[in-house]
Order: sequence, then C-alpha cells, then structure tokens
Amino acid sequence: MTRWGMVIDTDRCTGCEACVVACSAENNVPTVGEDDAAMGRAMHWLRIERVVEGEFPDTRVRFVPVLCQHCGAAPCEPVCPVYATYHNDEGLNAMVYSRCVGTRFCANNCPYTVRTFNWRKPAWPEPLDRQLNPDVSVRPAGVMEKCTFCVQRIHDARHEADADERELRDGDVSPACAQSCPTQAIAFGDLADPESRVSRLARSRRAFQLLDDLGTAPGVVYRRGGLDLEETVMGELPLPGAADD
Amino acid sequence: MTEMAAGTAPAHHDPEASLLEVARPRPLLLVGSAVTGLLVVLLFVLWGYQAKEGLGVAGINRPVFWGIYIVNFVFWIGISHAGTLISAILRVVHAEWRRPLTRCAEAVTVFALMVGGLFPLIHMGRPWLFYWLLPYPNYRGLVPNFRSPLVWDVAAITAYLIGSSLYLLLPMIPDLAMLRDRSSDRGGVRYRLYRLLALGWRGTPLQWAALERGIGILAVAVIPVAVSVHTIVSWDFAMTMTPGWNSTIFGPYFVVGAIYSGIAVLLLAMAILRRGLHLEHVLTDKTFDNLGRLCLAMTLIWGYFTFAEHLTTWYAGDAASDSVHHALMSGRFGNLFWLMIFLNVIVPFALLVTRRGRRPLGAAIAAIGIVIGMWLERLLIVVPSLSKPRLPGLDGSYWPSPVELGIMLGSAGLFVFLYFVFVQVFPIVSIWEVREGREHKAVAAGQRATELARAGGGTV
Amino acid sequence: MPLHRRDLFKASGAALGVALLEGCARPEPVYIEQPLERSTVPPGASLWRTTMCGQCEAGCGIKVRTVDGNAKKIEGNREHPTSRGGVCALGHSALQGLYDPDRVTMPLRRTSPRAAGAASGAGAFAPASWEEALRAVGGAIAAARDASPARIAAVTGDDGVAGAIWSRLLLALGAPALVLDEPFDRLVERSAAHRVFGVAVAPSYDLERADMVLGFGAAFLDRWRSPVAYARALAEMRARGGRFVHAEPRLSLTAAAADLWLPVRSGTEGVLARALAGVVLAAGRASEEGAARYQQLFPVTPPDLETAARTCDVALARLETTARALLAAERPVAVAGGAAALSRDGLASVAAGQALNLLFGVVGRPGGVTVEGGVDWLAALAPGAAEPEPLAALRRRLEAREVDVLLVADADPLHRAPAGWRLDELVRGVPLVVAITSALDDTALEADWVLPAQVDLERFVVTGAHPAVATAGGGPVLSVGRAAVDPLGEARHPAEVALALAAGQEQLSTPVSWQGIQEAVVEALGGDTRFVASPRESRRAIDGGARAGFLVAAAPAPSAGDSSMGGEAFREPGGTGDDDASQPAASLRLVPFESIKAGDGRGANRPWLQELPDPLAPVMWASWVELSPRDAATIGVQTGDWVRLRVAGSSADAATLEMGCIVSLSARPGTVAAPLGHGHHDYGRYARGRGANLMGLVHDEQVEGCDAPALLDVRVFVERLARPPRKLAVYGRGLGDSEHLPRGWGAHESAPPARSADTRPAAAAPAGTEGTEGGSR
Ligand SMILES: Nc1nc2c(c(=O)[nH]1)N[C@H]1C(S)=C(S)[C@@H](COP(=O)(O)OP(=O)(O)OC[C@H]3O[C@@H](n4cnc5c(=O)[nH]c(N)nc54)[C@H](O)[C@@H]3O)O[C@H]1N2
Ligand SMILES: Nc1nc2c(c(=O)[nH]1)N[C@H]1C(S)=C(S)[C@@H](COP(=O)(O)OP(=O)(O)OC[C@H]3O[C@@H](n4cnc5c(=O)[nH]c(N)nc54)[C@H](O)[C@@H]3O)O[C@H]1N2
Ligand code: SF4
Ligand code: SF4
Ligand code: SF4
Ligand code: SF4
Ligand code: SF4
Repeated sequence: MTRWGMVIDTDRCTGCEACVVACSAENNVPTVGEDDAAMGRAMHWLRIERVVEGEFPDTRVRFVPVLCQHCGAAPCEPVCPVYATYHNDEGLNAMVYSRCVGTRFCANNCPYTVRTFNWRKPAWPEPLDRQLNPDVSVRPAGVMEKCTFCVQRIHDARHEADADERELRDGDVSPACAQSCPTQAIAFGDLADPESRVSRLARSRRAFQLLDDLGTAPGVVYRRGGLDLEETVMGELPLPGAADD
Repeated sequence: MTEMAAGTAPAHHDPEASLLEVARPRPLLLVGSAVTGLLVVLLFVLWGYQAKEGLGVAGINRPVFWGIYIVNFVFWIGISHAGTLISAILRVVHAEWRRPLTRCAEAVTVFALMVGGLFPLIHMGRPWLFYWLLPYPNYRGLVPNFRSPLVWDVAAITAYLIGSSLYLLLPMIPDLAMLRDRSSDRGGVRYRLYRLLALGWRGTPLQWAALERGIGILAVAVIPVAVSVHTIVSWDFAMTMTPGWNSTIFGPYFVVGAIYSGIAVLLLAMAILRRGLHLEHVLTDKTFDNLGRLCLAMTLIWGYFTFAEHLTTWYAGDAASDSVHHALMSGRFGNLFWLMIFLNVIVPFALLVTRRGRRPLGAAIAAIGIVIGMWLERLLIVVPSLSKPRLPGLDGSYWPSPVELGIMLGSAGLFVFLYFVFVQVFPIVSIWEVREGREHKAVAAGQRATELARAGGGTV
Repeated sequence: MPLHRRDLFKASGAALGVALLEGCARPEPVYIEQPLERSTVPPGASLWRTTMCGQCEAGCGIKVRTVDGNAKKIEGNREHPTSRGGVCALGHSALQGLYDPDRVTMPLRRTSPRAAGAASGAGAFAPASWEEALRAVGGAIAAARDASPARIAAVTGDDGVAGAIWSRLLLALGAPALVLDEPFDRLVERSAAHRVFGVAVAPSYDLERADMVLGFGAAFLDRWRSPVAYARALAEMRARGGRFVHAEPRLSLTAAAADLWLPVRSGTEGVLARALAGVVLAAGRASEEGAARYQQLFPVTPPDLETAARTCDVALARLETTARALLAAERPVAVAGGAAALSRDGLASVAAGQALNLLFGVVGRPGGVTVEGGVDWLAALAPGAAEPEPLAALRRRLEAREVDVLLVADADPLHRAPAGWRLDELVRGVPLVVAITSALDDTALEADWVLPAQVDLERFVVTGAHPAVATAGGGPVLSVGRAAVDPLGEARHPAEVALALAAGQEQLSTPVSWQGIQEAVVEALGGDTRFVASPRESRRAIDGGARAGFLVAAAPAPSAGDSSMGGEAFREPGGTGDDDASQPAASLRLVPFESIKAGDGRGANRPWLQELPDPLAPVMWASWVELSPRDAATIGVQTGDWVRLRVAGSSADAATLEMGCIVSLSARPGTVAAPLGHGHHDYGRYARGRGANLMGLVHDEQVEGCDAPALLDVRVFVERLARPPRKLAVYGRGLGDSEHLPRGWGAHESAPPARSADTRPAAAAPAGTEGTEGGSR
C-alpha cells in the first residue's frame, strides 16, 4: 500500500516561490485580482510562511512552504456534509469538485488553513486560457479546492509504469512544486516504503511535522535546524552570538 | 350549529370576543407589511445577485470563511427558541401566566426558524445543490455524510420546523374554528383558509380531549427537539478543532443563549403588540413581570456561562486559543466584546432586577439590548476564532459587505413581514386559552368562595 | 434624473431576470477549428519541447509541455548542467507573457501625435500590415542613411545573436554602435572585471565547490545573474557544511539565507571587502602573485576591521566572526555586484569584492570565480562593428539631437532609465521611433511603429554573451533551444526584423543575409572551437544542442582571465554618499532592489507574479516600500498604509511616487527599500498603472567611472498619504508579527538535533553598538 508523502527541507528553502507559481501553472489555480487579493482571497495552494524574529540588525527569517499536509487523520474530512473531500487509499486527501456544495466547513477545520475557495467564477481571458492544463479540471465558483499532491501526475506516472509493465519506482512522481524547486528543497514519494527517498529523509533527526501535537498525522515532513554531516569541510565556525557577547 | 358551539363558553358576556377583532387588516400593519415586503424583495434580489456572481460579493474570505450569514443563522435559530421552548415549558409546568403569550411566542419560533433556515442556503457556495445534504434515494447510491454536523443540522432544523409548526397550528384550531364560524363572507379566501386549517373542528368533547392530549404530547416532545437543535447548531463549532470553538460548554451555552435571545424577542414583540393592538388588558404588567423575571434568570445564567468559558480558556492559556482570547478581550474585537457584555449583562440586569424595570418599557429596552448583544455574541463566536489561524502567516479580517448587510436587513424584513401578515390573519393571542384561564380562575374563585362560605358558615 | 416607479420595476425585474435566466441563455455557438495539416502528435497528447528560458540572462534549461500546439507548463531540464531542473518564478511565468491577453500580435501604427499626456495605450495605435510597417521603417532608414547614417540608433537588450545581427545592420548602414540596454549593475560588474581580471564579462562563481561564500551586495538568490543555478549550488555547498556570509543593506532573500547577515550601510560593501582583504593579507594567506595583482589594483593599505565596522555601521564582533571564518576556510569565494554596484562608489566596491578572489587564489579554480565569455557573437557575425555602448550613450545622442531613427528591440529603456535622464521627452523629439516588442511597454507607448515581437518560447534561443558556467564540467555552457510553440498572431523574431530591414535596403556595404537566426548561430558557432571542432560540425552540434537544450564547451578549466590586461588601480572605496551631516533632515535613503515578482519589469504583465506575495514583504498587485518600525512610527504609518516619496533636496516640483507601506522588522532604520520593475504606463491589463516606477525618483546620480546610474544614492522624504488610493493587498499577516509560533518554528529554538544552532545562528549583537543609517530622522 502506498502512502504518498513529502519531505521539505527548510534549511534549503530560500523562499523564492518558484514552487508557488509552478503549482498555479500546473493546477489551473486562478488569480483573483487586487481587490479580492486584498481581502485575503488569493488562492495559492501552496504558500511560503515567513517566520520573522528579531529587529534590525538581528532579524532572522525562516521560510516554511505550507501546503495541504494530506493528514492521515484529516480534520477537514469528517465535517464535509457531502463527502466532497475524502481520503483515498494512497493517503491523499482528495477533493471531488463536482460534489462540493461550498459550505466551507472543511476550510474552517483545517488547522493549516490551506484550503482555498472559489469566491467568484475564475477567469482566464483569451488567450491566457490556452495555458490551462487539460489534465486538471477548472473549478467553478462556489467550490473548495487545495493542493492535491498533483494527483494527475501520480496517475500519469502509474499509466506510464503500467504501459511499461513495471511497478512505480521511487522518483517516478514529481509534483510541480518539487520539480521546479531550484534548491531541491522538496522531495516526494512513498512514505510506506522504508527505502524510498522521502522515508530516508524523514528519518532524520532534523525532521519535524507542523502542528503534529494535534494528531492530524500529516503526510508532509519538514526538516530544519542542523546538518546531517558530522564533519564540516572547514571546521567549526565560532557562533556569532557567542562571539558578540 | 351556532357559532357559539365552536367556543367553550356561552357568549352572553364574552370578554375575549374583542380578541377576534384583532385578526384583521389595519392601515398601520398594511403599511408595515408593504415596507417589510420590499425588504423581502431586496433579500431575494440580492441573493439572486450573489448566486450569479458568486460569494465574492460578500465580505468573507480566507481565513474568515464564515461570516454574518452564519451569525444570522445561529442568531435566528436562537430566537426561534423563544416560542416553542418557552411556551412548552410553561405549558408543561402549568404556568397560568403563559396563556396570553403562547401564540405570540410560537409564531416567533416558526418565523425565526424559517428565516434562520434560509441562511445556510444563502451561505452555500452552490445553494442550488442543497438537496445533496438530504438522504434521497439515487441510483449511484450517494448519501450525505452523517458524520458531518451540517447534516445533523439539516435533520434537527427540519424536525424542529415541523414540530414547531404543528405546535403553532394545533392550539390554534379552536380559534380558527371560531374565526371560520364568524366569517360573514363564506366564499372569501379567509373563510376558506380558516376552514381548511380548522380541520373540521366542532368543539366536541372528543375533539377537546384529543386536542388537549395532542398539545400535551407536543409540548413535551418539542422541548428535547428544541434543546437538541441549538446543541447541534453549537456543534457546527464545537466539533471542530478550531481554537475557541472546540469547547464542551458550547451545547448548553448555545441553548441558554438561544432561550435568552428568544425571551428578549418575545418581550419586544409583546411590548409592540400590546401598544399596537391595544392588548393592555391581556398582556398585562403581570405578564411582563413574570417574563422579565425569567429573562433576568437567563441573564445570570448566560453571564455565568460566558465567564466560565473565557476563564477556562484564559487559565489554560494554550497558544492557539490564547491568541483568539486575546483578540477578544483586548485585541481587535475587544470593543465589540465589552459592548456585548454591557448589552447582555449590565443593561438587562440593571433594568430587570427592579419591578419598575420589568414593566413593558423597561423590559423592551432590556430586550433591545439583549437582541443586539446576542447577535454580537454570535459574531464574536464565529469571526475571531477564524481570524486567528494556528499557523502564524495568515491573519484574518472581516467586514460584512453591502450585500451581506442587505441580505441581513432583508431577513429581518422577512421575519417582520411574516409576523405582520400573521397578525392580520390569525389571532395573536390564544383566545380559548385566555378564556379557559379566566374560567379556571372564576371556577377557582367560586370554589374558594364556596369553601370559605362553608368554613365561615355562610357569611358571603 | 427622476426615477420612475416603472424604472424601478424594470430594474429589479432585470436583476431578477438576469439572475434567473443566466443559466438558461443559449450560448453563442463555438466552431472548433480543425487543423488542415495532420500533425504527427495525436490531439491531446503532451509534447515536451526542450529549450532555454529566455526570461533573464541566466538561460536556464527548460522543457515546455505543449498540447495541441499550446504551451501548458514549463519545467526545469534536469540534464542542464547549471540549472539542474530548477526554474524560478519568473521563468514559469513566461507562459503568461506568451499568452498575455493584451499582447501585441500585429504591427501597430501610431494614429495620434506623440506628446506628453496625449492619448496613450492601445488607443493611440491602429493595426497595420508587416509590408506597410517594413516599407515605412525601411524608407525612413534609407532616407536617414542617405542624409546622415549617424542619425540612426538601435537599442536592444539582447547581447547575443540578435544583438550581433543588429550591430551588423548598423555597421552596414554606417550607423554608430548598437546601444545595449543591459542591467546597470552588470555594466559596473563588467567594467570592474575588466580591470580586475582583464576580461570585460561578468564573472561566474562556482559556489557549490567553495566552502565559504562571501556576498557583497549580490542578491544571487533573488534575481541576480543566475538565481536558479546559484540557489542550487549554495544549497549543495551548505549541505556539505559550507558557510555563507552576506553583506547587503537590505535583508533580501539572499541575506535571509546567510549564516550571517552583515547589514551594511548602502554603498559601503567595498570598505568591508577591503578590510577583509587586509585580514587575509596580514595573515599571509594570499599567494604572492595574487597579492601583487591585488596591490596593483588597490595600492593603499586596507582599512582595519574597526574602521570598516564604523563605516559600514555593522557590529565589529560580526566582522571579526566573518574574518575568523574566512581564515578558517580553504576555498572561500567572494561574489560582488547588485546593490554594491549601484552607488557612487559602486565600481570600486564591486572591484574590491571581485579582487578578494585574487587573494583567495580561486580565480579560474573549482570553487572559485570564472571569467570567460560565451560565443563572441559580435566578432563572429559583425566583424569590425564597434562594441555596443551603454544606455547612457543613447541619452547623450538624444540630448545632442543626433537621432532621426530610433529602433528599439527587446528592451524598454524608457521604463528602465532614470527619470532624470528625461528619455521620454528626448524620444518624443525623434522623428521616427520603432519599438519591436511583445507588449505595449513604456518605450512602445512613445513609438510611431510598434512591431510584434516573438517571445522567447516562440523563438530559436541561445545564450548571449554571458554563458552559464557549469559547476561540474568546467567550461562555459551554452543553452540552446528551438521554438516551443508557433508564434501568436504575426509576431516575428526581432533579429528577423533586422534581416528584413536589411533586405529592403539597397546596396549595403556588407551583406546582412542569413536565412534566419539559426543560420547565423550556425555560422557564429562554427568559429568557436570551444564548442565545435570545425565549422562543418556546427550545424550538427547545434541540432544536438537543441535536442539536449545545451552545449558544453570542451575547454577543460574555467578561465582565470587575463592578468596582462587591465590592472589600473581603483580609487579607494570609501563608502561615499552617506555624509549624514550634509543630508537634508528627515530624509531616508532609497534602497531599490529587483524582486522575484517583477524582475527588471518584464514580470509585471503576469497575473501569477502580480498575485505572488513577495516572500519578505507580502504585497500583491502593487509595489511597496519597506520601512523600519522606528521610521514608520516617526512618519506615523503602519503596514497597509500608503506613503508618498519625494526626492529630497530638489525643488518643489520634485518627483513623487505613491506606494503602499510595509513595516519590516529587518529594515535598516534610515532607509526605505522598494522594488524596481513596477509602475508601467501600460504593458497590458495586468501591469497598467500598478505600483510605481522607482526610476522616477532617480535623477542624475552616477556611478563613478561608469556609465550607470547610482540608484542607491537617492534620498527621499516619506510622508503618509491621508487618503490612500486603494487598499493595499497584503497576503496574510504581513511581515514581522508572529504572535505565537507553533512548536519547532522559532529561529532560536533548537528543535531536534544538538547541532541545530550552528546553521542558523542567532546573530545577536550587544545592544547599542549598531546604530542606524544616517541617523537623520
Ligand atoms: N447531446 C448528445 N447526445 C448524445 C451523445 C453526445 O455526446 N451528446 N453521445 C451519444 C452516444 S456516443 C451514446 S453511447 C449515447 C448514450 O446514451 P444513453 O445510453 O442514453 O446513455 P446515458 O445517458 O449514460 O444513460 C444510460 C441510462 O442507464 C442507466 N443505468 C446505469 N447503469 C445501469 C444498469 O446497470 N442497468 C440499467 N438497466 N440501467 C443503468 C442510467 O441511469 C441512465 O439513465 O448518447 C448519444 N447521444
Ligand atoms: N464522463 C463521461 N465520460 C464518457 C462518457 C460519459 O457519458 N461520461 N461516455 C463514454 C462514451 S459512450 C463515449 S462514445 C466516449 C466519447 O468520447 P470521445 O470520443 O472523446 O467523444 P467527443 O468528446 O464527443 O469527441 C472527441 C473529439 O473529436 C473531435 N471531432 C469531432 N468531429 C471530428 C472529425 O470529423 N474528425 C476528427 N478527427 N475529430 C473530430 C471533437 O472536436 C472532439 O475533440 O466518451 C466516453 N466517456
Ligand atoms: S521553490 Fe524551493 S526554495 Fe523556492 S520557495 Fe519553494 S521550496 Fe523554497
Ligand atoms: S492539511 Fe488541511 S486540508 Fe489538508 S488534509 Fe489536513 S486538514 Fe485536510
Ligand atoms: S466546502 Fe465543499 S468540500 Fe468543503 S465541507 Fe463544504 S461541501 Fe465539503
Ligand atoms: S503537490 Fe502539486 S498541488 Fe500540491 S502544492 Fe505541490 S504543486 Fe501544488
Ligand atoms: S533564472 Fe532566469 S533563465 Fe533561469 S528560469 Fe529564472 S528567469 Fe529563466
């Protein structure tokens, strides 16, 4: 049984937001324009959270890409009155857009606030619509949406594997965000396979999960705050904090 | 059959007969109906516009996905507890003073439910698909998700609407029969309406017995339904893991709040009807005094719940709830929160604690405060929690759009419109029950006189 | 207007009717075009086209997914040696540049006169045919050529094949040199490299194999030179334990990624570099040869760290830490440019940064700096043509009223030039202005003819004069690719317009007659033995390259430059321009930067980028200023308010700009940072009137010894706008207000491992040691 998951290395992430645009391009995520954006209606499926601490000149910034965590115990699922958001047997929290009636209950109950709603009919004035991905449905007004782990790519990879009469291999599936990341901060794969890249990365001492104390069993693992290598190339850099004191 | 047959008592001297006169069109009410009717048109035009344009015309956003549509939903469902619950409880405990106010209260319930029930539909992204929340048979075998509190809502509100409508109609039958029988225009619409709704009432002992039994059963049955309705409404919030919502107290807290706001609207409606329809002899100061006492009790209970809710949140101080709590107490919502406390606790307490304050004017002022305060309470439950998501990057703000405000105004218009129309067609005071009360009193007085006479040896 | 009851009924009836009947309306029939020619690709099937991203000079390798001839998605080419599968936000957005609903798809002729404030936008133009356009423009060129060929000017931003073809045309016409509208900081960098390394190309850096990177103003993770390749290289370097210390006035993405940020005062990067050089020299860590060359460039004794700390306004302890780490490093590399280049002292500053590499002994070494040009397109295709001139040269020619015909291709000088140059007024005085562009940019709005240009996805593309340098293989990498999609409308390659114009001219002194761009590339590459063994191999090499997306030079080692060239000493960088005493009171220093959202301005017509919240100041659909909490409090503004910037020290009619405001914890007090590339007059519906063009505040400040404007030497007054024009779209909470942090989020929190603290050390300094920029408020 597959359990799709993602590992994001925040030590690698530079906050360049290439992944954000890649996701919008891949998944026909609409833009909403200035007025709606000012109201908090921008629809990115993936956002870069900033953690800013300290005032000039001691400011530290950390970037944390936040997308749907594809929770193993997803709080968004039981509250949906029509099963429009549900769990599939590969660990994805999936959306059936055509079933969604737009109550936005799921969004309230998502502790990561990653679900976005089509407040209006999305628009791609010609010829912008020529860019739309034919593998991903365009969502109508009144419907909830969010990161799907690029499920269309999972299907594609599986079809290709089937055509070649082989099993899916680790690395066959690369969601748009992971694909484009200049620093390769995002890895994707099967967490149920202990040998997969994501499983290996997730076993790091640096691994943590967002709001894991809520018991949502996220399918996204983050890494931060240190080096896996014991030996650095150049030896110890004296801690600036210590030196300053 | 004579018209008298419909009533309970001979009509030689009928003090309640004037009440029948109440149920007729009046210039002021007609104007009121027209004005509120326009508001109803506004409601549906705006809703149509919203359905066409999408919910973008409202002020809701991410992360404040729910706005005043839900606030109004909770508010009106709360108001609906005025009637059925109060009248049922008072009936069950045989509180004599209930008699003049039951009808008025039951009508509030039914209309508030109708208006409240509209809001989840208005709130939906795709309201035309509302029936997907119902378990109707279909060949694909699709069913709604019975784990979702929203589906519980649908069930509870439907049950409550049916129950409370019956509870309004059933005790009205004898009055309707009286109206039917007094109707001079036998071919008119009114006559036919009364005839239809009177269900062939003849006032036979068998019918009376059945009616009494029916009302008795309904009164008992409707209490748990009403309690469950607002409990389930509270579970739309309490079942989630949203900070500030996930609270065990929410069920009873919502029920208490509902009864509280219900009583307030009832007091207000009574005060207005009393003045407008000259019902001073029926809706007496005594009625207001009694209801005012009940209201005062609710003030204290509601205040206690509010205190308990916020104290525990503050004391535990977990980060996520704390940020909501902070926004409520001193942050962005601080002003509204303390205004709510002022309107819901300080003003009603100060007024209702004195006998003078419980007279119609004082009670009406307190009631206005409570209605606004309870609306604020709903707002302060819905919005602050959503505006403070757990992760630090998003932050919410919300201001209702003109469309939302227009729809809210329209919904209030719809409520008043329905009420105005009702008042002009149906007796707003339960004639037979008042009469029954007077007779009971007379009988009791007679009995007491007899007893006294017996005891005193014929001094009377 | 009296409103009748009937009208009211009609109105409400109409509203209801519209609402109810919308769903029932019978839509206009849509006829689906059937392609006449059978394509070999089945309908609906994906075809991935390997090519190069042309959105910036980096030339990353990409693959474009096309379905039924439409471009759907851009992905990185994993095989590409420098970008290695990465694509940046701007690169992705090329799709929306391609399919911009307001793209110029046919030639446009101006119908209303050019004048300030005259009808602008698409309304000022009428469609025309290419024949008409070429006849008119060709005629004007012929006339100018007969009268005085010196009065013909051409500007382009393309320093590759197309630029060379334009140069060839100018040469054949007898016109002066081409004007190259290149990034101003790159001009400074090239000038510095010319004297430091003897080669006038912007250096490339092999960050991956370094063990310490020292940044001087160059925000190479944001938008500088090759952000994708550098981001990857830096990540790999740091995964292996390397260190990164970055000096820049603003906390850019690059500064945010650094182990240690040195928040220097604008324009003082050079002083810092000099002081560090002093440390290296004193420690005897420099090779003799390197030290000699260095001292030839900077003969003065370097300042000590204390002086640098004072001049740069950075805690001495921080500089000492940097110095210690530097001495501990085996292969440090210094990267200089960007913000460091664009102050009055920019040339010396950048040179001081570049020259550190001489001391480190890493020039031409793995993990070091490389100065090697790509194919010399100009020499190959336009032998004898003069080197292109900087944009300032155009200004001088226009001021002297020496231009009758102005051809602008792949460039928007009117957007990018400082307002103080008054290029718009000057251009209005030119009898014939032709803009070859894909969108109605600021230059096109002043043109008599706007000719539709293909965007890079529609072109045969190849890297320009600044090739990417592979981190692994050594030699320069040439990205190359064929068109991914057919051109929209009647768009043409600008260089083909040059060829067409040449074909229309009688008796050119030298023929300008390639069959197309690709032929010119074949010819040019044939002469470059680094890529092709012999000219005969050229075509095959290019075919192979276009299939793979790149060509790697066979040259074994990266070039170390030419130490026999240049070497002229630099003036000692002194951190000019911040003599606070002479500054008008209460003014703030402007810190312009290129954001990931708009780049140099080309990204402004893409809704994805407009709606992308900047990662540090999460504004959407507008430009903004970043103010420190202190300055914000003085001015009386909060995040989301609007401010007016007015150039300090100039007259009452001084330029002003209005922008939204973000209060940023990381902003240096005394400065006001703002992104470039916004404030287009038109540029399509998504860009029109959005934000403000910072160049509007730049007057005549010059980088000393270089033809580039000193953008960082501008001071402005900032005042609160009482009536904001509209609500500033800020994503989420804005910057710097993290009320509660979930577990594991705190930067100071050492989450799981013992060593967690040392990758992201807390850069704490003793309170009070670090002052503020200018301290003038
Ligand atoms: N406008 C328009 N008309 C078309 C077409 C079009 O593209 N556009 N396409 C044409 C084509 S290609 C086709 S094949 C036809 C299809 O035309 P239909 O055969 O009418 O197909 P459906 O509309 O799918 O209806 C099939 C019915 O079978 C029922 N059904 C489903 N499962 C079962 C089952 O197990 N047993 C039984 N007894 N019933 C079942 C469903 O409830 C449904 O009512 O339409 C043709 N007509
Ligand atoms: N969700 C859903 N899926 C279904 C069905 C369903 O009911 N629901 N029905 C199934 C059934 S029964 C069928 S038959 C299939 C039909 O599935 P398809 O065969 O995909 O049918 P269409 O989408 O009608 O047409 C395919 C394409 O043919 C193009 N076309 C039209 N005329 C011509 C022509 O003359 N030449 C060429 N080369 N192309 C032309 C059209 O523009 C269109 O792009 O769908 C099946 N899939
Ligand atoms: S693309 Fe990679 S580095 Fe850039 S923001 Fe996304 S995760 Fe971070
Ligand atoms: S992150 Fe939110 S939307 Fe995604 S599965 Fe978890 S609860 Fe659902
Ligand atoms: S918005 Fe859609 S997916 Fe979410 S709970 Fe409502 S119906 Fe379900
Ligand atoms: S996995 Fe796919 S859908 Fe999810 S954020 Fe990444 S690109 Fe978007
Ligand atoms: S860095 Fe430049 S070439 Fe590379 S993807 Fe981004 S815009 Fe394109």
